[in-house]
Order: sequence, then structure tokens, then C-alpha cells
Amino acid sequence: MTTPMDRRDELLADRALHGLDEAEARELARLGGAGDDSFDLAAAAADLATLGGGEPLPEAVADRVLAGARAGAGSASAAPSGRRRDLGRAAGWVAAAAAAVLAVFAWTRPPQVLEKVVRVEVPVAPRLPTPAEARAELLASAPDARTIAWSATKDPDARGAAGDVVWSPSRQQGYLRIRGLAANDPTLAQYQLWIFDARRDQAHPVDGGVFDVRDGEVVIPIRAAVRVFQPTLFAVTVERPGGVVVSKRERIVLAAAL
Amino acid sequence: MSISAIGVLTRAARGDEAAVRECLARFGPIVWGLALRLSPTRADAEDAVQEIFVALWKHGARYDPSRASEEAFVAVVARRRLIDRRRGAARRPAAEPLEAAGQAVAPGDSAETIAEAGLAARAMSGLRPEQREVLRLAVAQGLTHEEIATHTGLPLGTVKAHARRGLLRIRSLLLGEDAVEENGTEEDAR
Repeated sequence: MTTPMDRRDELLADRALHGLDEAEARELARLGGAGDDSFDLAAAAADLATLGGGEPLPEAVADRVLAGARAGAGSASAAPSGRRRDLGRAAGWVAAAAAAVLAVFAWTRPPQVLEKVVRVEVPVAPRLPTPAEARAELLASAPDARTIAWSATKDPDARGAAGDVVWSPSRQQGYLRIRGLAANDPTLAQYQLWIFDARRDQAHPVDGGVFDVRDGEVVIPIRAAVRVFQPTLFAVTVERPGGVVVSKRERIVLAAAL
Repeated sequence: MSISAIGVLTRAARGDEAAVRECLARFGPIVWGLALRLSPTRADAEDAVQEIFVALWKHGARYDPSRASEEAFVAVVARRRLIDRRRGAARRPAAEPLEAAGQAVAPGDSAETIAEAGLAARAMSGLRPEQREVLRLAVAQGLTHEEIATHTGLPLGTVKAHARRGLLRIRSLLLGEDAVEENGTEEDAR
């Protein structure tokens, strides 16, 4: 039996992940959850956790944002003029929607809840180690950390590529070290890691995250989407920007078998 | 949480161009990454970025550093805007195809960005694997519950439950609560 609290949480989760229609929003308000943004914060945290290094903001987009800010001096009417679509129309509902967003976010949250969030964040403010430093630390401190050398495929972008994978089963943590792999244009394609697990369907390897390669050696943290029980093979494919849920495995550039 | 970051949102909201530039450098990669994930085309993502920053300029002065980190604030605002756009787009004709982007600007203070991502990653590491996968598909891939059910083979009700419980777990960890996942073992929860 669904209680009002269950339904409230269900609507809050739906709003955070996919948004609500008007009827659902009214129902959430009736249940007293309209001002609760804690699920939105959780979804944002999940997004940040899986975002990775990613791609920098294109200069042209940054320029348009800056131009809009100059024109509007911080007002909602500062819609950029460089786009060929109907941004004037967009700016109007942006202002209304932004107000709704911020009415939802935080400002109506009970202070004691928000203070707890801050207490969690403050200890992590100091600088984190670089991936190379973290890789070295993992090797030094995790007895079960294994190093597996990459084998380059015949793909033209993999010619001369080398490096290794470090993986610790107990910590579910690992790093890719790659040199010689062709630099990718992240607007066109990104590399994506896949982890084949003996205890999972081989048709659906675990997504290890997307990454970019520029010149020189790179060290990439592995971001396994789910727990890896018994890895048998690490493989890197070339995919569309942002990666894919299921790879067609049309371009495999690196593999490391245990 | 840095004091300088607290000030930059407020200053940008007041029209300080230097602060606007700093916000673009610091938060641009986050906003852009989220926009790429949740937009149908690259052009649509570009428009979304502009809308998100307009929202930040308009309301950034309300940001209260005692309540949440600036990265989380930016991510929440960005997600809500992107979700609104997706829902709106479902009622409009298909967007134009992908187009090439120009040169890129360097990311901002990566240490702080990474620190925030690290906090969130630790929160997610406490999820059961199937919850994490459902949540990842919903958040990172932007799939609907129905699409996730099709992809994973899980019943729709299970997908919804996993998504809700996953968010609850993250929320509990963010709030410093010692939530124990129902039906989950210590092994699963790690």
C-alpha cells in the first residue's frame, strides 16, 4: 500500500529525474513536497559523479553568454543575439522558469537540512591528488591492485599506443594509463572504457566512463557504472560524444585481458 | 567551499564582467557537460547553456553559501532547466542536426570541480549496483523509466523503485545520515 509519504518521495524523484506535469506538480504541492529540493540535489550529485573530466565549454558559446550578460547586465532579458533560433521567445520563459527553479532550490529547504549538507562538503575542499598521483597511491596501498598492459588493435588511431590498466577489486578503483593513442576531437567522438565481467552478460560489459586523449601520456580514473565482480577484459572503443549505453564495438582501439 | 566562489555568483548576478568570465571558466564545463547529456543536439545544448547562465545571472545573488556548494547549486539549476527544455521539446518539432563547434576554452579551477565530483562519486558508491545502473541511465543518459526498463529488462515498477531509492540513498549520504538500504547487504551497499 502506497502511503502519502511514499507518493511524495515518488513525485520528488520523478521531478528530479524527468520533471512533472501540472497535475503531478499540484499533487506534490498537496502532499507538502513542493519546496523540498533534496531529491534535486541528490540527482545533481549523481550527475556530477558521472560527469567526468568532460569537454570544456566551446569558446563561441562562452562568448555568446558573455555578450548576453553584457547586454542585459545580469537581467533575464540578456538573451544572446547570435543564435538563429527564437531566443527572444526563449528568454521570456527562461525568466519565468528560472524563478520557478530557484523557488524550488534550497531557499525553501529547512535550514537544518542544508547545514548538514555543508558539513559534509567542507572536509573535501582541499585539493585532490591528480589521477597520476592517485594511481601511484592505489598501487602502493592496495595489495590486490593489478597492472595489465594494453594491447593496441589495428585501428589507425591506436598505432603505437601503449600503457596499462591498474585495477583493485577490493576498492573497485582503477586507472588507465595511455600514451600514443590519437588525440580525439571531443566534438566528434570520445573514447569509452568497457569492463567485461565474468559474472555478467558478456553482451553488456560495464561502462567504465568516457574520456578524451590529447598529446602525451594521460591517466584516466575508471568510473565503473556498477560493481565489477570478476573483470576479464578492459577495452576502449571510439564512440559518439558523451558515450553510449551499448557499444556497437565498431572501433576497438585498446584491450587489456587478465 | 571557497569564499571567492561564494562571491563570484553574487558579483556575476550584479553584472560584474570579470565575475561572469570567472563563472564561465569555473562552471562552464559542468553546465556544458550536463547540456550535452540532456540535449538532443549540440545546437540545442548551446542554447541551453545560454539559458542556464541567464538563470544564474538573474538569481545568483540569492545563492546562500551556508546552504549548499556552488557546484551543486549550478548543477541543480542546470538540470531543472534542461529537464524543462526536454519536456518542452517533446511538444515541438525535432531540432536541427548536429553542427560543429568552435574552439574550446580551458576549464576553470579543476581542483574544486573535481572535489565536488569526488564528493558526489562517494555518495554514489554507496548505492547497490542495480540502483546505481538505473540511476546512471536516468541521470547520465537521460533515459525515461520506460526506456530504462526496456534496456535493462527490469519491470517498470522496479526501475521506478530503484531510481527513487537510489536518490534517497544519495540524499541520506549528503545529509550525513547513516541510511541502510532496505534488502541490501553490506557488500551490496559498498
